Amino acid sequence: MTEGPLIVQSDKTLLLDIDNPLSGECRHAIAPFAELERAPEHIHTYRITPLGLWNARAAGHDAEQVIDTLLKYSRYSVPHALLIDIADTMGRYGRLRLLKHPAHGLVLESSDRAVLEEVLRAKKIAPLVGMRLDEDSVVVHPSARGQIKQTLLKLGWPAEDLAGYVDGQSHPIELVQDDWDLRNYQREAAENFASGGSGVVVLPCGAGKTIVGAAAMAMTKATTLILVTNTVSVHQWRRELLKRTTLTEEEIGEYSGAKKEIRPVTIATYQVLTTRKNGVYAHLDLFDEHDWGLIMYDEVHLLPAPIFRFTADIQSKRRLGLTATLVREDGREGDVFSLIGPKRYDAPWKDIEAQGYIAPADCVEVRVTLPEHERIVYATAEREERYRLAATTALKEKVVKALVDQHADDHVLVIGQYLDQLDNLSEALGAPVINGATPVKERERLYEAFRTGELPCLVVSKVANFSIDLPEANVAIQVSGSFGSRQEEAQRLGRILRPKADGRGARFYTVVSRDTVDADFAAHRQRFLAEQGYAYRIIDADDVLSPKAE
Amino acid sequence: MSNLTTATDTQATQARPRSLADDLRRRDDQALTQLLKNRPDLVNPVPADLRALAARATGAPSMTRALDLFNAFGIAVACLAARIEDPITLADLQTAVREKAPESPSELVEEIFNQLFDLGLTWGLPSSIAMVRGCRDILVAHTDDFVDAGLAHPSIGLAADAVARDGQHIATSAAQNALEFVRLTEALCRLWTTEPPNGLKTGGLSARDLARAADQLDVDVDTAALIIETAYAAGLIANDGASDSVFTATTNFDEWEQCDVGTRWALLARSWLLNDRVPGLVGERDAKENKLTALSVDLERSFALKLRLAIIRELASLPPNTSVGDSTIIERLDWRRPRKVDPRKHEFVLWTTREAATLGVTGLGALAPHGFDLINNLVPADDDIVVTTLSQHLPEPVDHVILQPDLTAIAPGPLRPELAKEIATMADVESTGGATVFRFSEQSLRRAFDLGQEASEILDFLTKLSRTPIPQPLEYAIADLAKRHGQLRIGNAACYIRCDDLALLDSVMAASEAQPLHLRRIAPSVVVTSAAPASVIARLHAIGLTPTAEGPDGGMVITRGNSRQPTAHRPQPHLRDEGAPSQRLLAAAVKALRGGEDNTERALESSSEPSRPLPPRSAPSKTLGILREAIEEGVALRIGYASSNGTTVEHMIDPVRVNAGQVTAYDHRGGDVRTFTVSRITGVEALPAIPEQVQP
Repeated sequence: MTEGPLIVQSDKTLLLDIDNPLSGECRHAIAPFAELERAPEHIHTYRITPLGLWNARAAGHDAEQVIDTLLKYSRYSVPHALLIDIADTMGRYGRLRLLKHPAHGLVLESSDRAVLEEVLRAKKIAPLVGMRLDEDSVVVHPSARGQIKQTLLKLGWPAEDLAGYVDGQSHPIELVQDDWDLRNYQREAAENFASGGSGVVVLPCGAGKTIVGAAAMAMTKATTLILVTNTVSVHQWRRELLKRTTLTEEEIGEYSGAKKEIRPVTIATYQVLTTRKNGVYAHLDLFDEHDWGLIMYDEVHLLPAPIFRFTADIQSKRRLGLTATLVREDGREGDVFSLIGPKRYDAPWKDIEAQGYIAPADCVEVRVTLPEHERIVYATAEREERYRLAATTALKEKVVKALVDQHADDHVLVIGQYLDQLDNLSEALGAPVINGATPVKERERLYEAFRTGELPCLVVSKVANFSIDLPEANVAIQVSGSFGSRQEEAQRLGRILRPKADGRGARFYTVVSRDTVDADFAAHRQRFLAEQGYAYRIIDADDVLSPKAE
Repeated sequence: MSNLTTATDTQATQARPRSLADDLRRRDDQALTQLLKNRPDLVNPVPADLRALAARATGAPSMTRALDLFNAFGIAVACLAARIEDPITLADLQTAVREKAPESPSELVEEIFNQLFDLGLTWGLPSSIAMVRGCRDILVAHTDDFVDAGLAHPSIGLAADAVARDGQHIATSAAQNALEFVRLTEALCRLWTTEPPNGLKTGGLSARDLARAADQLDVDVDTAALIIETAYAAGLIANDGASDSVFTATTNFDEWEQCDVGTRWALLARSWLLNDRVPGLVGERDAKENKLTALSVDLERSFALKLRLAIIRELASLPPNTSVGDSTIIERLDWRRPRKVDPRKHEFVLWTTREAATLGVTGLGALAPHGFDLINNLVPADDDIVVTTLSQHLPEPVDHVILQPDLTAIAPGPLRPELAKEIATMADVESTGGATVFRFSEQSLRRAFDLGQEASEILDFLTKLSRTPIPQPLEYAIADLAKRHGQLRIGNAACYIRCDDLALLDSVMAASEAQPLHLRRIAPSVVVTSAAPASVIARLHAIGLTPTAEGPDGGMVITRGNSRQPTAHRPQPHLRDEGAPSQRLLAAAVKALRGGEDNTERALESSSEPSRPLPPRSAPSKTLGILREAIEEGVALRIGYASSNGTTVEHMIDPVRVNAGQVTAYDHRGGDVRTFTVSRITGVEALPAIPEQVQP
């Protein structure tokens, strides 16, 4: 029997034995078509999904390669049905193609007449197509390009989009690599994007997604619209672009609640684009107002629904999505695939950590036991009140205080969901608090003070979940969150993963009330990171409050 | 060596036998045994005597079967023999064959010549062989094109699409599929135990339920239909036969589930192979445009079993570890059974090869060693052979798991059954296949505690089972649960007795009839016992009390019976003349035939009184035998015939042909050719030779 590193399961999951000498080679071979689902210590789980297989097809891999890879590395023989299924699924991609037509603009063409007939009979396709040109092709209205791709994907016949892109208005952009170099994975990610045209790059928090964006801009050399989650992030992107590229202050515009500048490179927030005035999205025209050559979506897993809709209409523009996790709590990964593009690059967190580009992190769950009177209140509370009660127990304040004291030499972020809890903590710790109400100027001042080390500790609300660059932060204490959100957990950990100047590791505490929904949510939140290979240690609050030698 | 040539020496001096029956009488026991072995339909049931045997052997259905034993070349040679007037000699036949196909190997022609004799299709002495008339009729009907095509291929080689494969690879790949098929079948039965689908009024399974099963098993609809049909054929699922009928797992499933993988597979594979139903038809439309549904009677096809066997045997006839395309299989089938017109052969071959792959009978398109054993051992008693072969190729069982911090345990191969059972009490199976992934959760661990295990036992078991240290989150999860487990008192009790009247409870506790229940009072108004509710109720009835069963909500409970279908309704398809009859049966049959022969002769002697007005009464089968013999020998018969007015009349006839219960004969009394109904012939007797001119 061959001792391959891979075990193929009936439910289309792949188990990769990390301790096997061939595991590294195998991981690279299966990465193009299988999604990494869990990456704990010994055995990683990958999953073969239709979306993953189509991603692989889009990236130029064929079914034979996929099957060969499975057969080559599999420890046991691979279920026949699974191989057939892979071939069938991959064979579905590209039977339908979207092409440019000199006379009719955009056409949907098929190499398989039966498939075309089948999809044309679908109710949702009918309004998107026009005249039938011949037996194998039909006119598609250019504005329906995104929608038809989305619908075809749902029907299980993903179309290959060969209609190309408009180049947009060109604009000179170069990288300025004076005191830094593009990392290998960053270059690879940018190159994969450039050769593919559109797509999504998945990199861990802190691995330098902004730089991948800058590199992609330098390769596209065209006017660029960058969509980010919030204003602070706008400023960060702007700072990074000024530092990493030849772009000057005058070339970069900010389009946010405060400013409405449109420049060759414009950074806008999702929020301003989705602001409605009298029921209409007042700012969506931004997409059309300028002949953009590239549209970048930061944190694409958070892309709000209206932006999806609008993205469907701009399929002729090059699009790049950046994210740390493709996990969407709303399950719209398929829309990301069909509207932004297939996954162009993915790197496991632990790989990047091993290369030293993100700091190693130690995750600790601190369990507190609710005092008797709070347990009674908790037990009799309404269901929707329970999480808040459990998450904001006064005992957590004491634990946080003790933790912050232990980390007197570190840069500590205390992150929470509930504002009164954060205010209380701020008071108890003597640290300033940043929340949604804090003016942008004040926020930036505090972040700056934190960066310089003037402030050793900051209390922040969920405004700090994303895209806040606080390189020196190395300890995060999470006291509450938005329920069981896995990606929030990942984002929060990401805050402290920037490699430290002194090579210090990061410490991520989660304070959790034992035997309550708080613990259940914590377990759910931890799944993504546990699956990425982060092992959570559990300690008891008493160990923190009366520390023994740790 | 043929019986024809051995017979030559002993019978050289003897007179030519008068008929096939006469010839059979002269054949020795070994030759008869050989005949019965090659034509098993002749002993089913054993005929009364050799005359009856000859009668059956010359019947059209039996002769058709015998001729079907010849391949394309053989049947072509036989056709040429049939075109030669009696007597046929080997030399004449060789000449006839050489005329058409000079390259034909003469030893092969001789072999076929002998085979025709051994099978009782020809008879006589080597110098003057006669062909059974019915056989000649069948053979001369074949066209020249058919004969020429057959002569062109004395043997069949391998087609260009034959691929030699690695034997080990074939075996493991097939074994893996076998394992998977067993797992899917088990999953189906479990699914239908909890959610039994309703049967359609027409008896089948609705397309929606089929699609649902496919969805839940995560296979395509065709595979789901195969799994369902195979489980049905194996008697693991059945219709419960109620008015609002459902399909559910049978008690056979419970037994089957306990067997090892190999035994479980052997049952499924044999049930599939010997199924007279065609799962591939599911979803097609019948003549009335109705969709054929799984588990309905519409899937039965009389040819299915034999054709499927023929296809798998064709695979077995290939050189070892060779896979060929479907078209080659069809080509070989056509050559080996040239006279068969199989309905929808192409689709059937496609279905069968695909199903064989899904079941793991074949791997990489070639017959696996356990598939080979299966086709050679078709009776359940021989399953051991199949199981032994299969288990050699199943992955080695593992005796450890790998525990991971994300609360999963992975067995990197098939876990030894007792370990799998144990770990399944404390963790849920998340995925199966080459390996098994277990996930620990609060619910799964609670299940272990509920079964009476303690934290230390669970940890001990996992420590021993795991190659990796127990991850802290798991340790915490177990410890946390154990702590809470201790707070609440949990005991094993089958039922409780609850009563607000404490005095009444006192009296129950004191009653002698209630002593065997070992009642324990855990609260003033609650008594528990480990006895089953039904027996507690019975005991309390005995004391003269009228208890009611209570559900978890305090409401009255009406218990439903066991949801298992007690018996499998589906009988195994009958293995008629598949696989040769045993040596013992053959010997007994020959002995019985010889015995019967003696009796008949004695009976004939005693009853041949010339003075009787009507021939002696004989049973229709015997009548038929005498008729056939008379046709062969060309003799006239005297028969008693029940006329339409109820009287029995004597006829003198020269029988010409027997077909479908009718005798076509020249009637000497009427002077014309007419037909007689065999069942109305009351008796039959040979007439002395008729003058030449009377012959029609």
